[in-house]
Amino acid sequence: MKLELHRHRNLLTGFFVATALVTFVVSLVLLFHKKGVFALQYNLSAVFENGVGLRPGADVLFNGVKIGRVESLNLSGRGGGGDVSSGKVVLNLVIDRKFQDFITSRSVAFALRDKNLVSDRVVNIETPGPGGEILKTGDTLMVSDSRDIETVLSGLTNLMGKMDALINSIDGIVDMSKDPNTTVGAMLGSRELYDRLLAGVNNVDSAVHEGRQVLGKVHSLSDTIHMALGGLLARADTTSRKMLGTMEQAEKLGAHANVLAERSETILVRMDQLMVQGAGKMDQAGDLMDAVSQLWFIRGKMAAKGGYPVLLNESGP
Amino acid sequence: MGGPAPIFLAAALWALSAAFPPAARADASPRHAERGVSAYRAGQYDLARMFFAKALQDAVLKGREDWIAKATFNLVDLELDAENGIEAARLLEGLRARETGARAVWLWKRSQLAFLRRDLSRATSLIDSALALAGGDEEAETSMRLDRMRYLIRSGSEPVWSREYQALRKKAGRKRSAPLDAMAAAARGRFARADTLWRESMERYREQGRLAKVAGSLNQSAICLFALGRRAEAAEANARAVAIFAELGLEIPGLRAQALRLLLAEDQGELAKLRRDMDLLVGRLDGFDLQGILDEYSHSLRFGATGNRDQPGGQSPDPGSPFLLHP
Repeated sequence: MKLELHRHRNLLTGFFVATALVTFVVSLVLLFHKKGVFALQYNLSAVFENGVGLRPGADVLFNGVKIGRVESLNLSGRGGGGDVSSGKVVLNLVIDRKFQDFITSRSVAFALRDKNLVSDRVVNIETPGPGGEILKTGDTLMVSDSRDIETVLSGLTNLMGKMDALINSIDGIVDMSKDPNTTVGAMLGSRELYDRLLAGVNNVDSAVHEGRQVLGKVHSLSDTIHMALGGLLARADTTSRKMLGTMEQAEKLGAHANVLAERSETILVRMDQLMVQGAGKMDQAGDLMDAVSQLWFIRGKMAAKGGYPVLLNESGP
Repeated sequence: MGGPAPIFLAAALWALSAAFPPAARADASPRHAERGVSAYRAGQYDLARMFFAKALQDAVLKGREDWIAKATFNLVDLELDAENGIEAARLLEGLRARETGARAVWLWKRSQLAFLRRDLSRATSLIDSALALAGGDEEAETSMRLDRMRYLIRSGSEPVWSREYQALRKKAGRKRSAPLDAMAAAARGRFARADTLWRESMERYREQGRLAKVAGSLNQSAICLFALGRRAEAAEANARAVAIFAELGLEIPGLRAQALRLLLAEDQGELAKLRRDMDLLVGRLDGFDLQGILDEYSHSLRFGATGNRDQPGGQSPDPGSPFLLHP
């Protein structure tokens, strides 16, 4: 009887010891797992100006190959005007550890639409050339401007704002110089006024040049848009026949495309008007010179109309 | 599904392709050149440069070699007035003048560039080559000969150029040869006569609409007045010349004129300030040869320092600036 009691006690002690050991090991494993010791993934963050179109679960690509996903999005800072980073969008990215060596301190992340014009955005990472330290868990990636139609259109809108202001300032000066008896004389006599006109004309000239470059970018994107559109509409058609929910989604996509298309059209029409206006200002500056050439102290010094006027000056003092 | 999306996008794509710049209008190059000449005559050199550059751009786009040459010569003349030798050289080096007349003008402009850089022997050999090619255009030939005489007067002693000078001034006429006469009179040490002639030249240049040369003549007049010992009048003329250059936006000629102040200023404080300002500007402007300019002024004043024939009352000016290496 005494021996049996002793055996029971040993069994109970063994059970408690074993349970404690298992609990300890499991806790240790859980703790290490939580710390990421056994994890096959690691976390990076990236701070974007705008998170529109980016959602948790969105793909993270490296040179177009999927390497992870967006875990969460948060706003940085606490609001208010003091902190310049306040209100920016912080993306927490989960990346497969096997791709860790590809992502270095030189890598740049940017948002794009990988499928078509209206698909959700994904985050693509590029590493320009070798070098740089490999990023570890918790490090922050550098970001660059998004490479999609919204960003280009937004750039166009900003550019047009600048051009508007420039053209308005020139308008003022050209208006001032419409009366050849007063203001043109003043302009010729005033270096300051002349410099303002010249700076305005030059700025419009360079802005028009800049505008053409932006349009070039849009043009290069247009092929992608065109190609994506067919696939998108085909997909929308198929799904609309199949089920109502997908139909609603397709309508939303269509509306999105509509908004973009209308926005593109409006911007391009305005851009065209501004380009014409810019060229018009250059012509106005030219017309101004034609008027100046009629002034008494210049008249008669001009080469005959029709030929090609050449100065051919002698040397002098 | 369909909807208006494809129509809008198609319209957007069409608008994209349509938004690119339209083809240049016909005869834009001569029109821009006319505007450039108007701006030049009005003393608006920056605007003139812009129009001449547009004229050249249009000529290149249209592939018109004659226009390319003329537009380039306009730009070269402008840069020579602005004393921007680097830009003038770049323009001339980029021009391939195949036609004989254009090649003669090209050589002439290169000689003017050499003259600007004070390479007088090269300037003379280039203008001789230009004259050999310039058959038929009497007006251009006379201009070239007047320039050749300028180079000779600047480089040689009087017996070398005296006879040729007399023959040329008869051919060119009194009015046209006024700047050359002024230069010759100064070279002979007749500063009072030279001063009068430089003032006549100012009128001549004003009529031609060459406002940079008006200021240049005024500065030459200041040199003559200084040589005559009329320092206050010289300082006033020099200040006016500097102001005109500033109004025209011609920085290098303005600085060249301003350098004369280093010789004219009597007050040591003013002199020190001028020197500091000039040192700063010289450091900023690549290729601005202040010492060379002072040497040139010194050369012009040499007759004044040794007692010239026109000097009233035997009063000797004092070109003894600490910056003159060869007084």
